[in-house]
Amino acid sequence: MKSSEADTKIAIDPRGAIRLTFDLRVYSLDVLYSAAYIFLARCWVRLDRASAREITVTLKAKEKLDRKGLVGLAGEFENELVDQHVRARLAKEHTKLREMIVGRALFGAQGLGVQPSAPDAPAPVDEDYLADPLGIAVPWEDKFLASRKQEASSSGEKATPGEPPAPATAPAPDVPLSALRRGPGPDKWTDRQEFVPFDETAEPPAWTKK
Amino acid sequence: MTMPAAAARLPSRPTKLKLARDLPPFRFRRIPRLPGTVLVVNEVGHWQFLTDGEFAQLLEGKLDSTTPTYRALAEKQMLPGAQYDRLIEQFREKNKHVFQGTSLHILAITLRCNQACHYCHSSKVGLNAPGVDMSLETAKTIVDRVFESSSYGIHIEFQGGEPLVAWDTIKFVVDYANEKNKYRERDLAFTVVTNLSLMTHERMYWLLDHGVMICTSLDGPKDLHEANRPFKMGSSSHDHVVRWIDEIHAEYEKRGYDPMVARVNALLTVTKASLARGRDIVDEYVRRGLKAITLRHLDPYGFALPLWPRLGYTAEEYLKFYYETTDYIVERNLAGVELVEKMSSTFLTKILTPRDPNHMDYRSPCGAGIGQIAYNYDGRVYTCDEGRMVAEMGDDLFLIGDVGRNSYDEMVQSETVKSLAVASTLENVPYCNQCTYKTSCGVCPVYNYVTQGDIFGQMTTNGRCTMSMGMQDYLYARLYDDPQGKVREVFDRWTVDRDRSMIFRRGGS
Repeated sequence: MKSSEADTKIAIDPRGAIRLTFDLRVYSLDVLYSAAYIFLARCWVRLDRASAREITVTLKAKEKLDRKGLVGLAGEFENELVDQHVRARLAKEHTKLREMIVGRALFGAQGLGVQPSAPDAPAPVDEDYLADPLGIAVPWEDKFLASRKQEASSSGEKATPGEPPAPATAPAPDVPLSALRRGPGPDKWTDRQEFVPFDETAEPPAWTKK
Repeated sequence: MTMPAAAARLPSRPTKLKLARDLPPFRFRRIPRLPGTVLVVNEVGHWQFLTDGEFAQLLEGKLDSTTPTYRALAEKQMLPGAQYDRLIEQFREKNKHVFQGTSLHILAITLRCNQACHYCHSSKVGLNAPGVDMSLETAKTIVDRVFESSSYGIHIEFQGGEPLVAWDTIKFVVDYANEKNKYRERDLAFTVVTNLSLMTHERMYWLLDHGVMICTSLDGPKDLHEANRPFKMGSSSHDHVVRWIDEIHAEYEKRGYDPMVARVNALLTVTKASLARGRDIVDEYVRRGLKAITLRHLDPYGFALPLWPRLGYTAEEYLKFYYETTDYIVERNLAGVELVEKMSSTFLTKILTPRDPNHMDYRSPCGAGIGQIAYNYDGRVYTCDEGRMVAEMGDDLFLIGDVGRNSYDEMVQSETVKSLAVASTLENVPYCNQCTYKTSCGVCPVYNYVTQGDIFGQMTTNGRCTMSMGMQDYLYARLYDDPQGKVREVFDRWTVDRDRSMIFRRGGS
């Protein structure tokens, strides 16, 4: 038996299995595997090489199916292949964009954002490299204990050596204590999904065709 | 052979598909209950329903730029020319939990308990059992470890057994942590998870004075609650819990707290006996003045495992219960009742807002070790409470250290924590990595391990995945089939995150 598309050959085993043969020029092996994975809950799945250019997929239903049910199963599998093919194409197209979004979002937040590529010329040497206008080289204990002692003397409070200081500017309290099994989240909820207003006057982009 | 209609508008020979250039990243799903419709979701959770025809036009760059669909997709940065800086900012906001460190610290301060809940996920022994209480020395060391966490928010949760059995330990931990926090300046909060049977007025006042949240279990009307949660001594567990819920609420109101915020947090565990009782359960919650209900499914851990044939159910049976009961909750909300369904609320916050609720079980990676830690009474430390339950079943796979011997860093950087982070990062999980719900879902490696023998699991045969997908399919379908926007109004209310810091934080009022 052949489907309406010449690319797929379908054979029905009356014992409850269906065998579909696919041309690898139409669907890649990855796409076939992805579609087969979706059917693991409903079927026992087997993939075999039928020839150099063909793969046979055998779906044996875990629940007994009649001929009509098996034909429907084949149709679902073929539709899933189309979706998986589109997903694979999109994934390939989008790999770099996804990596860019994730990379810039996560590393950027750590202050390690993607730097523009540096020129080949060597960086100029800073003649005054020992200067420390921000006090970065001052030992932490000196800075902290001095400021704590100063605070304590002005407020009458005793300094607590050995404990780290509160951050100079405490992070915003982003922890709603809203539910059991929940961790911190934002404190305010002024938010709905915000979208960029659509520009009615803009020319339609070149890629669209009416 | 007739082809099903789902993909009819795409080229039947995929090699003929000419994909438009510069489409921004998105995923798509055909929700079974919405035939002819394709749900498209981008990397930051913006979503749009398309017809099959519109979807094919989107892929091929032929979408009519004068249509409302085109306009909606453009506003959501789902067309070529998207503002990537904006998407990056939104992605960072959605995933900021990865920078936050371990915030939820669960202390099982005793294994002793006076109830014999059939499904008990925790471990429990009789009230007179020796050697199962946390010593104050261990409790102090745990608090020291908790404050080694890099997280600004610290939430200490008392569990058991029944934690009120070890009342002095609760008081000690709250006092010591508050004292320590005077110079640590963390956003510190406490919750006690109790069956309320050992509550007294003195304890209630102390908990409220110290801003401790109170969480309990309420499984529904009296007959259902007591069938699930019998007392060992034979008296009524339901009478105790509803009496104290009412008393605590009265005290909150007496203190002038906002009733939408100051409520007992009651948890429901759905057993086989609950499946036909959704409406009764909801009515009981409304009767008690509760503002939230969690239709939490039973997990096959702890004492529930050997009793699974009697207590458990399939994912499909759970989903039927969830659909019917959530329908009823929405109906009550539309009639003016304020009651949030919190499983839905977790997903809806991800779907409808730029925030992530940081639910430990529904995030990527999951919270095991890097978002939450569970400390057993004896000082042994587990990635999460589920991991501790597996240990009580005799398997220490999720053990990450001992507070007496290991530093916080040693525990959080253990190979076990790293493995669970890898196994619960959705990019690494087959099927999840391409799932449309990737931006709003999460996996539980402990569930996978217990049910499928592998922390990665096999999602297409995984009951938790079936339930998560089914719940999200339902929520999207309700949003789709809502011409007047009434359901959307209810769902928006369910995502409101109210500021509770004036009541439940740093010593409270």
